[in-house]
Amino acid sequence: MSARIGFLLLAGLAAALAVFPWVGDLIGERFPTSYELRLVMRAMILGIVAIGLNILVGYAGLVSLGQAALYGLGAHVAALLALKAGFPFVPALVLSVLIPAAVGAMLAFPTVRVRGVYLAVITIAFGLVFVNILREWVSFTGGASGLVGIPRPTILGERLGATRSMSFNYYYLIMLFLLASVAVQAALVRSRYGRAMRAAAQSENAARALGINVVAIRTLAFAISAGFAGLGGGLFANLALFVNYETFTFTTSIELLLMVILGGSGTLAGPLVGTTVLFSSTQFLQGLGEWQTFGYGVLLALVLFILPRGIVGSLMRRGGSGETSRATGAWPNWVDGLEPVTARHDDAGQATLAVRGLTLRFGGLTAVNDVTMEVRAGTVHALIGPNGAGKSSLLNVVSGFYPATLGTVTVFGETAGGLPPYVLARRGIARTFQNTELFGQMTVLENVLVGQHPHFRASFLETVLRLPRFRREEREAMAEARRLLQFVGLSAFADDEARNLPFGHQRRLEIARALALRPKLLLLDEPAAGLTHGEIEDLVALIRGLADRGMTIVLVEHHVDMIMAVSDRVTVLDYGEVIADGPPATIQADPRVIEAYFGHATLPAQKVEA
Amino acid sequence: MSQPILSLSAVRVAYGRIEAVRGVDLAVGRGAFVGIIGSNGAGKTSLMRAISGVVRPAGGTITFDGEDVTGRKSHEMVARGLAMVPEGRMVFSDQSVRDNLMLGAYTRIGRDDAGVADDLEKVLGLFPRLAERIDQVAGTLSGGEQQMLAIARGLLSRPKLLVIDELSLGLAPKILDLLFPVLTALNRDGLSILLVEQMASYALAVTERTYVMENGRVILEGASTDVAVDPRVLDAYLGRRGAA
Amino acid sequence: MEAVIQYLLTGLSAGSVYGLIALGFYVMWSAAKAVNFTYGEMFMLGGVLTVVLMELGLPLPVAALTAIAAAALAGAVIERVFVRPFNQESNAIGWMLTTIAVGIMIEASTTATYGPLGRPLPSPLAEEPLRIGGSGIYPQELLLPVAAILITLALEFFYRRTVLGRAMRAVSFNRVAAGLVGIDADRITLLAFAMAGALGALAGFLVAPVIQASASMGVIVGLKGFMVAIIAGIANARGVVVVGILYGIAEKLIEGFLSTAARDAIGFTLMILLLLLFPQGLFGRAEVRKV
Repeated sequence: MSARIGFLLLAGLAAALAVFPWVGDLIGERFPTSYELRLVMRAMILGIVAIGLNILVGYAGLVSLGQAALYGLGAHVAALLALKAGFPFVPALVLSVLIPAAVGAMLAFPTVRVRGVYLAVITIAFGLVFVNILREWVSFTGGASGLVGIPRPTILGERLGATRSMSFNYYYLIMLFLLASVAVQAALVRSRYGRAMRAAAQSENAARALGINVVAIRTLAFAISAGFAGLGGGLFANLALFVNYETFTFTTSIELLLMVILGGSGTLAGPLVGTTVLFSSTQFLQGLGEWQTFGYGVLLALVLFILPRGIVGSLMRRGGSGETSRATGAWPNWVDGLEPVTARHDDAGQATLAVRGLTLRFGGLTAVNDVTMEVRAGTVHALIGPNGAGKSSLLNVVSGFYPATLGTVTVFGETAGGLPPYVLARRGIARTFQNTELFGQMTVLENVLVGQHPHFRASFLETVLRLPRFRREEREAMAEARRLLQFVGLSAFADDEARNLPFGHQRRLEIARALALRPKLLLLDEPAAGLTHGEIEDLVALIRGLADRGMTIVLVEHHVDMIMAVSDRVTVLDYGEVIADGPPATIQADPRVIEAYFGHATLPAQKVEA
Repeated sequence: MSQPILSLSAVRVAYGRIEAVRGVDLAVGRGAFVGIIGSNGAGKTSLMRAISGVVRPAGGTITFDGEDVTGRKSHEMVARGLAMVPEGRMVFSDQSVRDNLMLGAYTRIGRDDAGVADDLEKVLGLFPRLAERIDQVAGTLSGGEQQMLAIARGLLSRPKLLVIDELSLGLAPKILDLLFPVLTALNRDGLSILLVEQMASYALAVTERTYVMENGRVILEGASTDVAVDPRVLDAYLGRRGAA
Repeated sequence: MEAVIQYLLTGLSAGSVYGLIALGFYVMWSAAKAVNFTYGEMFMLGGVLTVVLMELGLPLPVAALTAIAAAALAGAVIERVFVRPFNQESNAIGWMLTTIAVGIMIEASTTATYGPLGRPLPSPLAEEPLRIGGSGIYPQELLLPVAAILITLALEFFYRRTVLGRAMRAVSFNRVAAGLVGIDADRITLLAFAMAGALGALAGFLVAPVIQASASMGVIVGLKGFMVAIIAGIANARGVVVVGILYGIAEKLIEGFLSTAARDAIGFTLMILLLLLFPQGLFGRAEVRKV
């Protein structure tokens, strides 16, 4: 769905909601009644909560089965502050957002490291604890009879009513919050935060390698979704003027999740569509009496079987553009404006990377054994050796993915041992992966934009409100991303999902994405694997070109001809140890290298040469 | 010559929209020793996964022992007589060497227990180091021993064709010097072998026929002695484009 | 002192139920790296079906065995229809939602047909309490830890000494490798879910005389059993049963010395904290993150 259609639909929805209370006056019927008005208000509140959950589930890829508890927390914060502390509506509402957000962050920070089923279990347990406390702590929460007599909310002395015949200002307040939530969601998703969330969900390793603090971004996602849930709760308490635990049980959590999935998780319109459809069908299911819950289970199963991508997700897929063949550009294409990426500093000749006495063990296996090597600035340094020689392991230590067992790594003159990948990435180390790790369900352009994550300065608030600095940075990032796509010849594919690219193009994209970090040191892990001869020649030109412009490159590779063509220096590893180190010509003639690399069975080729 | 034990026609393997194998024709004659060489990412392992039923081919047909087996799952292929020693060996490292070997005979247990006992003795004769470590947990074996175990495990299904993916992966030359003669001997006794190997020199030295793969296609095939002196192989493996 | 003994005994009994449920989760998880999330409903079926079948006039052993067989079948159907298609990618969680849907259906249909209230399952072992040092406990309650220990040992024997058990371990260790030695991993997984279904129903049948069989008896027990399994690391049979028993005892101690009302709040909080401290579980192995 294009942004314009989405905007029109949203405007239509806003108009419909705004007119809804007046329908009766137009058609001369008693419609809606206060009851019906309240149903719509409750649906809008659930929509706000679902939008928050969608950010968590659809974008950050984390499942919460305890969202109802955060919703309930917001409701109880608002109710308790009003009842027991006499807080006015506005500050109570603000706290009913902030407190759940803080609780969400506290719950998430240690948990988001474990994904999937573990997180689900923790959130379920949280939900159960929450309900248990509400039920049992009667003196504070009223237990089963709940908290009653919450005063009707007022803003600037104006009473916010919810009755059709008298005043229903509150209806419009909820509507405003709903529209604001939609706007915040849209702004967030189309910013570096949203991209980082999706990146972390789709390839955690690649996200970390691009300077994204995965724990922080997931905690943020959790806190945001909890904040939305709390807002919904606060609005609910001031609508019902009564709260008890029964509204916020595990069943409600499932219901909220179902709204998101039914509508289409990871789509902007999904939560609204899901809430509308589910809320209406719930009214219908009530007619089933004691079979209501059963019908609910059937509905959930049906959605998962028939519409796993949700209503909006399925529609969008069907409406997707058909196959068109597009021209792949030549690469490397040294377009103007690439200087910020390629132009380098005056440290040529210095050691960009120094590894001393590095040892890496996994259990009993020694993958890297006492390796010492130095990579000079502005050179292409190849790391070769047979399969399993420890090349990739070494690369993983340098980029922070594996902690060294012994030894030191110094990068740009500073010690780098023990730093996490995202910190090293922000210092200027970029890498690619042996089995390309793209963000498969993001577009080609978005993949490159993720690489620019660390360059943004606009704060969270500036981003959500789309203030000028955010818009300027976003514009610049977009321009640079497009230049990088031009550089690798993929401009025509900018809006394709990355997973649909042919293999060779995926390798190009991964390099463009790594360059978006504006690295000083680029680590390439078998970039030529799976490429055709022609593509390898282009790749050689690209690597050589980058090095000639001052970038330092470490290249793990098997293709000997490529190494000879591109490297300034070669280090040969075998069984985790350095067996040779020197300029390519010397290495090629070294008998130890020949034996390690080509095996020592009688080699017809050697005979030929002799 | 009778019909080949394994023949592939226009086999393609794709992951999503990415094609790893783009139409490969290949045949392994009965009792033959055939090699496939090629660099990383050439599609060798994907092809092996298709042959052994781990992935369903996106196109083409696979015929094994005269039967169309395209799309059969791996356990069905084992039952038909194809054993695969996978890349990375994949021994069950939480179980003993003996239990690993017995799992190798999974399809025969209860039907041919005497034959299994015989074969167990035979493979332990081939690899005496496994006999020494028969009650050890497989995870504590060295890489070379694990490779022996993986081969022995494959043999215990009494295969008609043994497929080995990356025999040399992470192994020292002296271990390879131990393993290759065993394969040659097995082949001499009538076992058909398909060997996938990145260490081209070894594969070319022991096999009769060799296929060279690049970018998901077979770019060259022929008698191993001819392939070994083909300039394209020299280029790809030794980078002597200038010198050759 | 007497009170403590009483808590320990009843805790042992309640904990054995958690242990048995956790064992079922362990069996499923090992085979599929996925579970029937609402496995508690198998436990419920064990109790409720036995009661219903007895009310229809079947003798206790026949009723119990039929209930257990039905739960095994249900376990297999759930695996085939609701878990397998939703567990194709690693890290997939579709199965979590589909099995929740099934659980809702099973519980809701039971409530609608069987009624919302619990009914007793008569047992000769739940009539006269035994006196142990001043504490009272039904023999039926002592049957639970015995059953838990015997089933754990039987399961360990199965995994270590039988061809099928070793095949199940092989599937658990590496599905691809299992297929390459001729094991039909899908069938083994189906079998594991059937086994777990039977195990859950057995636990439900054994505990029904003590707590009454009701449509809602499975939900919370199932969730606690799953948390127990995860805290134990879902790594071995003994570990999950031990943690289950310990959790049961902890619950009774909290009930006894603090309050019944606070039991679940404290218990769940404890479990959350344990999971935060030991993300891989108490007996789990840290996995090397592959890059």
